[in-house]
This record gives sequence, structure tokens and C-alpha cells, in this order.
Amino acid sequence: MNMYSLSVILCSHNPRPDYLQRTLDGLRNQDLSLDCWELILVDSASSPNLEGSLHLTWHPHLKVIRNDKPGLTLARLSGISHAESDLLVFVDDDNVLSSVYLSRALEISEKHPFLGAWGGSVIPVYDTPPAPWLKEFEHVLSCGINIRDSWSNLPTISEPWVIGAGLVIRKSVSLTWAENVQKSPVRMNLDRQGTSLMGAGDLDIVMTACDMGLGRGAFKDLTLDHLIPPSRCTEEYIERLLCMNTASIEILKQARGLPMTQPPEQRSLRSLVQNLLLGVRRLRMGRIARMKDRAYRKGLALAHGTVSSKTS
Amino acid sequence: MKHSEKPDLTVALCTRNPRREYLDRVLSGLQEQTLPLARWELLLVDNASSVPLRESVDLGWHPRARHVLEACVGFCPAKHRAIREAAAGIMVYVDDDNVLDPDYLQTALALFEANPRYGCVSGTQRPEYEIQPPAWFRGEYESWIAVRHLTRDLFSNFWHPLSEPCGAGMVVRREIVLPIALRSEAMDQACFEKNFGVRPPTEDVEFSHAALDAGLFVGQTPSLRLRHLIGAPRLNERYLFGLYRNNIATGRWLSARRAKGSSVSMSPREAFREVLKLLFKDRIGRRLAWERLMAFLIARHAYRLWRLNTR
Repeated sequence: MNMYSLSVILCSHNPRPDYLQRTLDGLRNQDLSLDCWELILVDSASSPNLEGSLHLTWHPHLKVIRNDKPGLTLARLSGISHAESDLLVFVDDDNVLSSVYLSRALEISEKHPFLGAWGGSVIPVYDTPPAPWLKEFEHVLSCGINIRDSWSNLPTISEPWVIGAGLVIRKSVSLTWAENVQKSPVRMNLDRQGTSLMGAGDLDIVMTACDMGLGRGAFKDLTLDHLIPPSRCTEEYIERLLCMNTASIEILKQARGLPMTQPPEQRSLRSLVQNLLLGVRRLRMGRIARMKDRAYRKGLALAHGTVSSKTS
Repeated sequence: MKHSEKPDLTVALCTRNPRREYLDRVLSGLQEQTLPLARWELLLVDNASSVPLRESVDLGWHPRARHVLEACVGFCPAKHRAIREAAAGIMVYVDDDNVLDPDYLQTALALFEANPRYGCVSGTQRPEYEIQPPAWFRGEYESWIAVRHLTRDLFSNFWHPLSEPCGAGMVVRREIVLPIALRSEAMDQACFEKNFGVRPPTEDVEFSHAALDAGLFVGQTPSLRLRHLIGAPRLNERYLFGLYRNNIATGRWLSARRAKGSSVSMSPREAFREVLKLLFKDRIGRRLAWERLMAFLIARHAYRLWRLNTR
């Protein structure tokens, strides 16, 4: 029999200290008794080590794991291998869970046994008021509000949209994912590594639940705050993030045998016409729309370049 | 014969002037079901066939079988009548060209009893073509005529094309669709059928939406299997493209109706793309683009008429 009802896996790489403290405060404020859950802090090659700088004695069931090699996938795998419960909750170092998050996650697990992975609404919390244009890109920053509870077992990327921030999965799903991902270098590299902004590993975990005949769900009253610093609100960062998100989703599609979005054809009459039309369209677009279009196209090209270099 | 206990399942076989050899095979398929006859009833809904089926079809093999005559012609009146007549809480719709696998009813009942959240579900439909269909049609377009090859369960509690159940062999909870059957849909039907001579296949879509509105799952599962008999008249290109046009038109019409929009609309960008396809695609692509544009015009006109009639 498992000792705990739930394992919280907090993966962190060179976190902003005040954000990590707020994340830990969020965990400390959970209404679920501390004896019901364990906290696994995975220090993903942070410099300096996290263990020395944090006061974590408030949690009676704490494990701190140090990974010398950076990478979110590696960190998640370490967390999974140390988890001692049937339900795992992934929390990033800038996620502040609502005080009922863990108890609600447990309730969902009991009420919806057919679900393998689920998440909630991720609310953006900015240090400084964001520019109005950023509203359109909140989903790129892994934020989104669920207006209803929805679930499915469809083999698609985003229906419903469940992401890594606050992701709850069953142990069986985590073990299957861990086994599969270690066999596939492509899937191993789908998530953040150092400064790389790849980010589709969470979608891969969620889709693993569907592969196993379980469902995935998005719940409206499971909420967390996502802390967003000013450095992640610049046009340059958003463009880079959007490009890498597009690329990683396309690579995930290829790894899972789903049809990839095709980039425009090169060197044909058709592509010439398309480029002319695109040029005209871009002239009429605003700066932000141009940035979005550019990032998307770059992401597609990057994904197809990566895939073809891997297959050749 | 009177039965003291309610059946667990009602099979509704709605038909109008059926092809006799097909209907006989459908009935044989039902006769071979592994679910004991005492647990299900059979309603043969005759949608005003020119030779009444009561005179020609013998249902004596089934103690819980009944002939029901629905004089109002149309798929919706027939299917709604079946809902009103049904005694069981779970219904299975069988078309007059659907030969169920022997375990179909047993599996359907087990699925719905074990999963109270299932609202509306269909399964795999294997085609049995009387003649070979056009080569381009095999594969991705076969779903137009209710042919689906499933390899895994596909369920959701929101509308999605992958989990949308198909009318052939659809299993549905009666309590969910009863309000639809009690509401008069005759005006909608008449409006569409009179003007365009086609039936709007809205009943299946409405059943799915009713299940979703009740917070239940809709979906498809490979554990339910049937053979779909497809006659030669349903395989010529004229019929197939007409069917595609009708499906698109009624889908647009129904979406506008559900959204309570002022009109069926098409964005200039969408229209431009269709025109480009009309000019540059291959023969099938051009024809499909043409049918989509026609479907838009039909749906827009039908929706206008419907709004005028309902005001």
C-alpha cells in the first residue's frame, strides 16, 4: 500500500528565488494535510545547489533530488522514479497552486477514474502590467482559463488543452511515459533544456494517457497562478517562444505518427504566388501580427529541418 | 404477448420502402443476437411505405416485436416516433441496411450499464458494396455514407468530429432524447425538405448534442460492429457529391440554428480559398469546392426561410 495519496514533483532550474518561495508558500498553504502528500524537489542542475538555500523543514515528507544534467524531461523522470503514491502532480518553479488544488485533484481522481491526466486553469500573474498585445499570447505563456470541465480520450494535441503547469497524472501513466520516452531520443528532447525553449513534453505525457485508453481532462475549478516576469513579456521572447512551441508540437506530431503541418512549397510557381500574397498581407498586418506569422513559419521550418536531418 | 418486466433495450428499425433482401438480412442479423429476446424489444417503424410492412414482414420470431406506422414521412418523425414508443431506457437505432454483428446488442447493453456517463455511442461500420465504388472515394470519403473503421475508443464530453457518433447503429439513452421527440420538429423538416428535396440529417447530430448538453460522453467504440450494405444507386458520383453537399448544408444550417445567429455566413477569406480550390485543384478537389459553395448557398437560403417561419 502506498504511504501517500499524492506526490508533488517540483522541478526547478536556476529559479528566481522570490518566485520559488511563492511556489513553496502555495504548497505550504494547501488544505490537504501534509501527511497525505510528499514533496519531491528536483534540482535540475541549478547553480548554486537549491538544497542549501531553501528552508523546507515545514514538510515532513520531503525528498530533494539533484540532477547534474539540465533538462525538464530528465527532471520529471527523476521525480517519477522517486514518487511513492498513485497520483503525481507536476508543479513548475513559477506556479502558485490555489489552496484547494491538491485536495481537488484527489477528488477528481476518485470521481473520474477513467481519467489518466488532467489539469486546470492557469492564470497569468505579471510583475508589471503587461502590454495589451500580450493578451493574445497568454496561451503561448502556458496560461488559459477553462470555462467548463471537459475531457476526452481523443488522439489529438489539444482537445482539451492540458499542459505541464499543475499537471496531475496517475502513476501508471507516468511509468508508461517514462518507459517510452527513454526509448526515443526525439521525445526525450521535447522539453526545456537549459536555455532551449522546446516545450511539448507535457503534451506527450497527456497523450500517453489517451494511448492507454484513459482520458484527459481540463477542469475549471482547479486553478493556479503562473508568475510571469517582465523578461518574458517582450516581443523578442514571445517570438522565440512561439517559434519553439510550434516546432516542438510539430516534432511531437511526427514522433507520434500524426500528420505534420506542411510548410509552404519551395521554388514553384505556387510558392511564388503564395509569397507574393504573403508579402501583400504582411504589409497590411500590424507589427504583432507580423511577428506571430514570422514565428509560426520559422517554427514550421525548424521542425521540418529537424525531422529531415534526423531521418536522413 | 404481455410482459410484466420492462425490456433493457429497444431496437428501433426505421424504414421506408426498403430493399427487401436487405431488410431480410437486417432482420436475420437481429435474430442472431446473443442477447436473450426477453431483454430487448424490437420496433419496426414503417415510415409510410407504399406497401405497408405490417402485411409483408413477419415479426413472429420475436415476442417483444411490434410494427409501428409513422405516417409523417422523414427520418426525424420516424426516429422520434420510436423514442416515444420505446419501453426501454437504452435505444439502438438500426437502419434498414445495417446488419448487426451477433454480439452488438449484448455489448451495447453492457457498455451502457457499466458506464452511466455514456450518452450516445456508435461503432465500426464495415461496408459491403454491391458494386465497386469510385477509386477516389475509398478511404477518407467513406464516412459520408456511414462507413467507419475504428481502431480505438474515441470519446469526449464536447463536440469533436473524431468522437461524433454515426446514426447507423447508434446507441442512445432514451431519457436524453425524449425531450427532442416530444418537441415538434416538423416545421424544420418541412422547411428544408420542401425547398431542397433532401432530408436534413439532423436527428443524429441532435441526439449527440442532447447527450453533450446533459453532461454525458459521446463517442465511437470498435467493440460495436455492424455491416453496412451499400447498394449500387448509392455509389454513383452524382449521388455521392449530392450527399456531400447535403451533409455540409445541413451541418451549416444546424450550427447557425444552435448558435441562434442571424444568418449562415462565410468569411471573405474562406470564400476566396474555395474559389482558389475551384481553379487550381484536381477534378475531385474542384468538385468538392463547388459542392461546398453550393451547400453554403442552400444553407443560407434554408436558414432565412426557417427564421421567417419561426418568427
